[in-house]
Amino acid sequence: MSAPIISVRNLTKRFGEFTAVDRLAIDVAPGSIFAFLGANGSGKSTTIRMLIGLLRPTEGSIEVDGVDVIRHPRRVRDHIGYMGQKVSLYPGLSLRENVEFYAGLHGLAGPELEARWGALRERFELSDAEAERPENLPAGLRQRAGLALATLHRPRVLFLDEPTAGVDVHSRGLFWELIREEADAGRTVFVTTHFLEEVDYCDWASFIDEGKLIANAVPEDLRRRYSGGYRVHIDGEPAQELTTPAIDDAFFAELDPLLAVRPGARVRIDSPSMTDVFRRVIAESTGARRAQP
Amino acid sequence: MSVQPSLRLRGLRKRFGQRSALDGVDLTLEGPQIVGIVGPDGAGKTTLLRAIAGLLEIAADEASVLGFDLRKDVRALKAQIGYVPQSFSLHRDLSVYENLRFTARLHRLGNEEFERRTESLLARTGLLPFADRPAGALSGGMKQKLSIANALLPEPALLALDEPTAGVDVMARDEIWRILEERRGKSLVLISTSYLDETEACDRLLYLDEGRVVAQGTPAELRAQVPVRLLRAWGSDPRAIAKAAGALPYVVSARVRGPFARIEIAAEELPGEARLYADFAGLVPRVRLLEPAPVDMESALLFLSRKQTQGTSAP
Amino acid sequence: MNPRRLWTLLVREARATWRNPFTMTILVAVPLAALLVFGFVLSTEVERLPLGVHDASGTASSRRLVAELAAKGTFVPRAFATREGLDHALVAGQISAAVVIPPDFDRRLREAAAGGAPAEIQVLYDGGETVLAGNSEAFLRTLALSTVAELSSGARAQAMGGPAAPSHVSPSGAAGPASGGVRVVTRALFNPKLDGSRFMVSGTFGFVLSFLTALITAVSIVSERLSGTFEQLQVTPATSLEILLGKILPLGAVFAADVVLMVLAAGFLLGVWPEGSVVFFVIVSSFYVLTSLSLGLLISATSATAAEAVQKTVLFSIPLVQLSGFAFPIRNMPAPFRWLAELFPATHYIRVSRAIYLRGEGPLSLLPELSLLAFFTLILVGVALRSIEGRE
Repeated sequence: MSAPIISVRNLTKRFGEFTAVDRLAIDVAPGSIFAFLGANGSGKSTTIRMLIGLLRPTEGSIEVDGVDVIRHPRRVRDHIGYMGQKVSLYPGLSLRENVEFYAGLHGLAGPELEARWGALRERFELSDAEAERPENLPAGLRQRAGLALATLHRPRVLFLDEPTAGVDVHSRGLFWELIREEADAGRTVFVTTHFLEEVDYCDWASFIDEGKLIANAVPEDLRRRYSGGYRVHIDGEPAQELTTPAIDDAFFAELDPLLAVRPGARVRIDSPSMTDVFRRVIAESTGARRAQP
Repeated sequence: MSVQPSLRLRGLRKRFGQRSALDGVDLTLEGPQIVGIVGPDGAGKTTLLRAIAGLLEIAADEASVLGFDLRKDVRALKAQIGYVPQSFSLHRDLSVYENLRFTARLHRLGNEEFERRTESLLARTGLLPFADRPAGALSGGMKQKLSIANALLPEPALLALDEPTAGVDVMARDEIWRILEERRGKSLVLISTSYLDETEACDRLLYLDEGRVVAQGTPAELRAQVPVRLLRAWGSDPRAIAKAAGALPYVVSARVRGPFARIEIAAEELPGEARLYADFAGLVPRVRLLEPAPVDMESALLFLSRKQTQGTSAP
Repeated sequence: MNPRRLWTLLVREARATWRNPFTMTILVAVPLAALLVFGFVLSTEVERLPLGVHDASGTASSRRLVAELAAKGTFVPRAFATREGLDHALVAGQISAAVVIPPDFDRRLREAAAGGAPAEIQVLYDGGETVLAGNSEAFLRTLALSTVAELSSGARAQAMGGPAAPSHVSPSGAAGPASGGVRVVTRALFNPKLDGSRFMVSGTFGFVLSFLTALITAVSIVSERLSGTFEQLQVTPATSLEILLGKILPLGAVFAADVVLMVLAAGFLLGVWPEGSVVFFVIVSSFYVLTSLSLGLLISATSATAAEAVQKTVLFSIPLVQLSGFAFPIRNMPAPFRWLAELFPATHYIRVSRAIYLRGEGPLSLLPELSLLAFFTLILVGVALRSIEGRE
């Protein structure tokens, strides 16, 4: 992995007796989509608030795009875009006025703003919504507009806290396509979600439970580790079932000869769902905690 | 419950000022079951649930819920309905237990009956250890579980749940669904949701768009209606495969989904099997395996939303 | 501080306020309603007040004075032959105020005209009927002065004020200026026209600018916090100071406009204009708005919901009404409450407002009160700034 753009070490946040985040260590590769997962109250939002400099950690270090966030919480703001759980468009102002407002805060105006916003407007399909006030827009569109605003100043890292909560399946799909485009353009995306199937859109997944990291890997590695693997059914004479931890070159090397003797045979693959994968992650972590009081 | 819960709506309409939220809903439901309400944002799901719960002044040709007429006095109906709104609406300063007791008193539940039901509900929702905690101090998932336990306390014949699992983690969702499963044979449960796995767990689905029910049926029926072929293309670079496949003229959508590219093809434009396999064999990068997959709920809902957009885009 | 960023924040806040019909209605309706209610309906006009008179002098001059007091219809004089009888009636509540004319009144008046020490009349009043008595006392004083001035006209000597003998009712009272050879012991309440509207109008500014400003500010910020836009602001390059100014300057401007609106409404609808400079009054009031805005910010920082902010503002307004001198004179309060009242910025603002409206005072004489106000404002703005920084 190239040098991480987000680097967190020993990150701890205590509220009185309660430890919300416990010695967290994560690295995020530049240009990747990093899924940050966990149950309600597991410490996700607390962590994000520390990463963007809104909350001072009790202990540990945070570096985002070369900025020591703990020492210079303000300096990191030009490097990041943030979209909270509530999309922060001002009601009463049209989308266009919201754009001008946030652009103005980043010192963006005139032809430069027009060029950037024009491009975003097309790509995010926001042209029809420009004159509307956010309270009159459907949730999916509001969410896209929120993302457009968070990227307007071309931050190197995007923090998205449950951007797809309460959004219909069509808008969620569109949203993830946009996130992928942002990542392809070199922007790092740090995202939380409760739609665990969305982890398959991501390059990396970290799962925290009671403030501790309990899983931290590429999604396919989590599948390998926390599921019974892919079940593959091959039609033909004779039909055959096999199980493989991953659909990779090794698997194809095994599959190809089987298909060669069954011309035209159909193959059906049962993929372990990411939801099931994380059910198991949680179950194992809970089990380990019980065994070790 | 000896009486079968039922619901008959014809031409149900609701306007908020200039905006029409429900534009002639026709719906008949008989007997206990779990009915999922799906559809795009702003389709009228919340309004429909609120109307059925007797919270709105509505217009309709027929609007009978559990035998009560929604256009008339709905006080008696409300005693038999449990409603959970989207945002938490219990008393934050009361404890979990006190909230339930408050509801029990409103429904004039006997003390013994209340204790019995409460204990069972708290145990099943995993809220027992938090019985004395103020509701406002619960996590998001626990709040939703309490709301549902609260709605179930009077053992209503009809339960209306507005996105009870939005923003809720997978473990709390599983617990919520375990409770709903127990009601499957007893109550008529109406639930709106945007989780695909939850729609699959419903007995019946209503697809709402622009204030009307535009499609309904069992999940299997809904999937079967969809004139789309679904393929999964496996290979070492699924992203590049999706991109290449997206360029094929008959492909409706091609998106990466983890280790494979998920490809939808409109059934009417489907070329012959031979041409299809030849086209995919010729893609660069190489598709190692092209797997025909059964149409899933995602495809079904996406198809319905595309169909509606195309149908209404003409002025 | 970046001017362009600040401008961006200002424009947004102004737009939001302008487009919120509810806020705009409140901003116009509440000050007008308060003015009309307090200035018109609740005005403490003094009329046909029983006035005890003990004329120990019994001369033409003293009788003329008593006749003048009766002439305006404000007082119904009742003569008392003895000082004891007068005191008794006052204590029994049969009369609200009393005038005592000493035996040597006529002689002293003539001596004063010749350059001697001024004549003295005593004004006593019932400290229980606070506002009424306060007003009547001032009226009495004015009447007495003008009558005596007429009496001694032609041979007027400008008597310079020395410390006057304190009246036994009000040992802490301040001496009014002497004129025309007579000296009336009075307290620091000036309202020469005995105009209840004027008294209440000038106080209403304090009430509206404290209560309404804090309320609107607190609710506006809490709503922004709840909608998530505040958090979003905090992750932009905007500094806390810019966010604070972006919030309070537009609101401050709106309330400054409200001050002008109220001055005009009081002038045209109630016929009450400040004795002093209107410009000075508007400037001082706009400055005071900053204090209330900061208070609103502080309330918002400790409120989780808009409803909580409203409750806190209302709670804070109860002592505001009762202790700030808006409705009840501070000097009649027990000492601990008097000291407490001094801690409210509203107390000082209302004092300044009345000084300008009733006495026509200018910046120089008000310097101590103004500096106290400035001091409070600095502290509040400072604390508000810290609260907005919001880094736990």
